[in-house]
Amino acid sequence: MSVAELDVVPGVAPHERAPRRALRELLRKQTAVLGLALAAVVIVGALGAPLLAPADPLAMGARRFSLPSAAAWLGTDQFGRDLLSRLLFGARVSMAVSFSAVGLAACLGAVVGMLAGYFEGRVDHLLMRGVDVLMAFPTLLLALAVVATFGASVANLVAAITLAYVPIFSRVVRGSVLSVKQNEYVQASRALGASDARLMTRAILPNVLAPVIVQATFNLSTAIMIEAALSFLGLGVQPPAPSWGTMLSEARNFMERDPWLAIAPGSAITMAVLGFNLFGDGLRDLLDPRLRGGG
Amino acid sequence: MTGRRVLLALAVVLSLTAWLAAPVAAQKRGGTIVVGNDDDAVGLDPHLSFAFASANFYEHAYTGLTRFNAKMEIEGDLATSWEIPNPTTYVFKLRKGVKFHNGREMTAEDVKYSIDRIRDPKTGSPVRDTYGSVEAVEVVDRHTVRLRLSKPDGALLSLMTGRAGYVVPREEIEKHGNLQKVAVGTGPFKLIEHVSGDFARFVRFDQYYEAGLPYLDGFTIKVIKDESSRLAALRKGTVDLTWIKAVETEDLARREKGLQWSDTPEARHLYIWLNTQVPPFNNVKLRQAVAASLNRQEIIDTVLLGRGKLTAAIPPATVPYVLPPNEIATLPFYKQDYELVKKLLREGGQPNGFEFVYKTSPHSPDYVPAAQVIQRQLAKAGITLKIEQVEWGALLKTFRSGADFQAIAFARVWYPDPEGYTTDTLHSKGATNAAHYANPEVDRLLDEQSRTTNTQRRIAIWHDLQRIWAQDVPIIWPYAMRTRYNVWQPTLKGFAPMANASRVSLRHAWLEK
Repeated sequence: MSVAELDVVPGVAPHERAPRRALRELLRKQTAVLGLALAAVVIVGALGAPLLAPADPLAMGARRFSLPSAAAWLGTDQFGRDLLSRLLFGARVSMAVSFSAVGLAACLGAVVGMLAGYFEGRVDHLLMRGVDVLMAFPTLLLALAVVATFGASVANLVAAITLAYVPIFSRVVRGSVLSVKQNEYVQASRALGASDARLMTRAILPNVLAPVIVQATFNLSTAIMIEAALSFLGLGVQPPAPSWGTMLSEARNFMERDPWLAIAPGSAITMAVLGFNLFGDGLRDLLDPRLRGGG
Repeated sequence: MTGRRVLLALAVVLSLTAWLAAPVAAQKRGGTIVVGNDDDAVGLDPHLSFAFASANFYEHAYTGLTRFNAKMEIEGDLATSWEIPNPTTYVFKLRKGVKFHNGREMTAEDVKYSIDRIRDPKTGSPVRDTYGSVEAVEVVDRHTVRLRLSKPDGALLSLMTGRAGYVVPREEIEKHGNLQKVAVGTGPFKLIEHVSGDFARFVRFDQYYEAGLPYLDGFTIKVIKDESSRLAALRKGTVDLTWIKAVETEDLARREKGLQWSDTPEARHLYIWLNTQVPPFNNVKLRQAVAASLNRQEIIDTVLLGRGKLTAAIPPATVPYVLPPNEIATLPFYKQDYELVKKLLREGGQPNGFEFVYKTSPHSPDYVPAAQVIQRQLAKAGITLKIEQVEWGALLKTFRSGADFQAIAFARVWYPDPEGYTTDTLHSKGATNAAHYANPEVDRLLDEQSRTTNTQRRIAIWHDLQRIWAQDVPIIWPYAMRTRYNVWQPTLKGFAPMANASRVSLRHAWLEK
């Protein structure tokens, strides 16, 4: 029996049957399906914005504050821009920022957590105390500080959210690594002389991915909110680029006069956050052995 | 004198008194009100604080030698009269028996102390320039003060109507270090409690020198930052008087039945400083190209929902120095003209347009919308404006430090005299010359108007200056608007807001309940 067979087979085997069964189980949960549907609407809107949007989201027209009508399904804003088009392109910004920030944070967090959990001792202390320092700041405050220091731009926004999330992923991964590396197949691989790098990437990593995916889904929804909050404060995406947060902030002064200006981006944010949260809930139930009811 | 005669005389006196008192009889004494303010004071010292919001508080506790009346004419306040025996000497006669809130009598010594305090560089007063021409302050007697100037100063009297003229008691400064946390002046109301970020409570100063004033027992200034909340408080009746900054909210207030308001003249205008020291705006043609790309009326219609006016460097409220409205419309580069822009871009060596960063802040509701409309108008001319929103404090810091920026935009508010807000930012040696603008002709004219006391000559100079600035475009003033929109309950009478958003007329206000 070769080393490769040893560490691949026991490690990955439980997951080989997983995808199809997981999907079936997931679809049996109504809230998860609802979440998936809502998230799908947002993602499709974001990806298809150039095709779906009825107008240029930046074009200012003479018809300002027009009510929802056949010409503009969701009406127009203070500058006579089509609200629906801005909403769709806003979804793009929101998705791009949250997916890239969460993706980056997950990767960086996985590296930090893996090193800390695998080597323990001094490496663990050093990395985790750094993480503790970052954890001490409330997420939004940390993101705010980064953007306020380095200036408002999409790149800085992504960096800010990434920095705020790295500690969370580091902790999740470290915890899982600590438990996974005690498994017999890991011990066996090590006994057979597998290198640290091989153990980490081949034996341990595939088995700590589940909690990372669940965490990522939850963080997507909070990332959407952070992006909206920072843009609301003028520290995120810069006008005239449409962002849900910017749209809300522009609509704030008109809330009583023209409430639909605020209701539209507000609903979009709610929908996206709810969607990813419900979906994340479903995923967690599915992937967490403690909640799987022995199945 | 017989008893009948006495009675007759008494009757005459009584009816005369009644007749004299008649207009006063409408005014009722007593009662307190709540004022909703958008911000808290950042320090209460009238000679030291920077923030506009501070003035909303200390203006009730202090008075100065002169003041503006409702018609914006200079009149005596702590000074009953003054003489100008020659252009470099001012002699003020002081009101007698004026008391500070701590009970001590105010004298000429206090006036000298206050002006010298502002003049002392160690004090670090932002209004120090007011007394730039003053060489010495002399106490002639207990109730007479003489200012000796190094050169004639046309703006001195009107600048002294503001906080630079407020008289402060030396002993309180010696006791507290400064007046940032207390307010002890000669004004009609005494500050008795200030809870930072929440409220400030003022009560009538019974020894105030204007007989019978103020009518109110006092008032509380409540800090309510959110526009809609202030309007809601007014509707609910928990606030008697407040102001609104956003035209959208103003719209709602106007539609509300039973609220009082007053349209003060436009005293606030948006400034866009173009840094004349770095590219692209070190090239005058490119500055002119930006100006000529703007459709100012469209900006007013979109950003201010039509509630604004075209303006040059001096906003409509600064009568008599403002240019006539028909001339403003025909100033150079005031009409949108893309053909002209093309020509200017060619001459400026950027035939395909250029890009610049426009720094502003979401601090006031009109800043970012204005940036977006301007951005759109410039885009049609091939000029790319990149908006960069910065936190308000950081924006002001960039502005004051004279750091490298290309364009920076925020609004400024009228001052009693154009010199108060123009010289500082357009004189080559001005303290806030953020555009790094230097035109020797402008410097000469600014210096000349400051020396002359002839109003006609000053008007002519200010008109000329505004034409030069329209041509040179160191700053773009896209519109002027009202500083604040005051709204109050119908039960509050006698309150008259001023163009600079001062609420000092609360001393004449009373409650009709």
